[in-house]
Amino acid sequence: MVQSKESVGSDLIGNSIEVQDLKKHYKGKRGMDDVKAVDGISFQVRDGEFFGLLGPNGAGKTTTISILTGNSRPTDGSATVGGYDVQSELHNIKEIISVCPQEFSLYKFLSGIENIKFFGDLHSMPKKKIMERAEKLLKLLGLYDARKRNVKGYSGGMKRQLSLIVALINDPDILFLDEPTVGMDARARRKVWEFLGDIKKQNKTIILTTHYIEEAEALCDRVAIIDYGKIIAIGSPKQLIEEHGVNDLEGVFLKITGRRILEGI
Amino acid sequence: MKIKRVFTVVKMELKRMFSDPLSLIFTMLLVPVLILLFGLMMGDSYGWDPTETYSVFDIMFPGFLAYGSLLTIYDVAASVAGERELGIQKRINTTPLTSAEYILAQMISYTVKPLVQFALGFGIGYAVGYRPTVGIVSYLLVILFLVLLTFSSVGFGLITSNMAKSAGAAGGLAFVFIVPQQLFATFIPAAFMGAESFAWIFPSYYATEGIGWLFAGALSTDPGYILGKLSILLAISVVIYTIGIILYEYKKKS
Repeated sequence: MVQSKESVGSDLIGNSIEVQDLKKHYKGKRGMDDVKAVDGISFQVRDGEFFGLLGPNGAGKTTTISILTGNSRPTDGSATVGGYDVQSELHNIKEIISVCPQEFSLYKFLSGIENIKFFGDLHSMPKKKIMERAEKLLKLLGLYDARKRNVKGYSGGMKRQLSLIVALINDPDILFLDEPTVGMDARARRKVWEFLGDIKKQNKTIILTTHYIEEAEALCDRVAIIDYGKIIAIGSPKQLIEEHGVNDLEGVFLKITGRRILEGI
Repeated sequence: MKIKRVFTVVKMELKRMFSDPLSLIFTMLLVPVLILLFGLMMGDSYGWDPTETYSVFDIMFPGFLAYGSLLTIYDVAASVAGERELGIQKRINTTPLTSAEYILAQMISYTVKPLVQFALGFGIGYAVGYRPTVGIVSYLLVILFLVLLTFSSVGFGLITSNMAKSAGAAGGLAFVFIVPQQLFATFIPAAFMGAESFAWIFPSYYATEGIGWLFAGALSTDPGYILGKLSILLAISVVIYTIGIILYEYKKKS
């Protein structure tokens, strides 16, 4: 694994996430070999850091997020989120995190505001706080006027933006974003990037999975490039680009694997 | 367990039910319409009872009430599998909502429909001549039988949702649990079909038998029989429900 100098965790800052030799294997079907979705990865994410998991589809990014958020059990290895173990202290983790899954994951028969309120209530937030925060987030992403409309009538981009608002309603310490801008046009994507940039300023720890090189470069303090379930490089985008003498993170991936990230997508 | 979270989910499930009024009206009216049709057609037919005390409709009526609860299997299976398909379950799993809270909410919300069906069905049944002369306790026990049957149906629904990969498949698979119960232990009492030797495995058998005998006044003549059926239904429902929860938990983290 290629590791830049910046990837070494500082003792002065705490780690929001610590992952040690994490593995997730699925049994192969009909005599096939086991599928190693995550194959012994280790990394740390510092408090307040914007950390990216960059790699092609099927690299193991979503599986890693699933384990860290309690949606999947690891085959081996350990991980902590906010200092809590992902296997034995999940109930504590759920109080401090939020997830924006890859799928829309919204109730189509509810309006935008009803979806937000539903998830705010599941976090036991006071009604007044939910409404205040919802109004602020809806206005920031330009969905305020559509808040009372059923999600069924939203465009793909609006659903993605609403999904992001739902993920932020509980003001989480640690936010997991799984491919949050997939399917958005360039303008909407830029708007979300700006929005996420503002969120980062609030000292939130954000873990983002993406296969968009420009997204990782624009937003992330550090990235782990992941391929076939393994981390093949980790560091700040700038460091990785300089160390490999290439123009962008795509170049880093190409140099290490001989393939392009977007191949096979 | 936080009750506020349970009722947040109940409220959402009720909104889901009312989001498709046409389908809601159809499912709500299914049982009352069956009762109306069979009441008009067979209210005066005594072919099944040599003593001519009970008409064919009288004998079938308890099964119609139980049928409303059986349809819960389909509702739960399709909604949970659908949520999984859309990634909603994944998002819910990352909130503080526990499985116990989620499943309790499912139970509460899916009991509403059979109870409304019971009220409508009983009203129609009364109008077409089904008028059991039993006390309030018998009626309360009838409701308890229906609630317990719904309880087991939620369990079957959760089991089905874990076996299916999509909402469509779950809906189809639900009928594997609905149809045998409907045919051999609901519409026509098992004893009339000679099906008692295997109908005992179906929760609906105990509900239909219990409700039928309650309406026949068995609470005063043979309360032990009623309590026996109630206890067995309770035990079966708890087992099915527990299996449903275990499978739901397993699927959640697999």
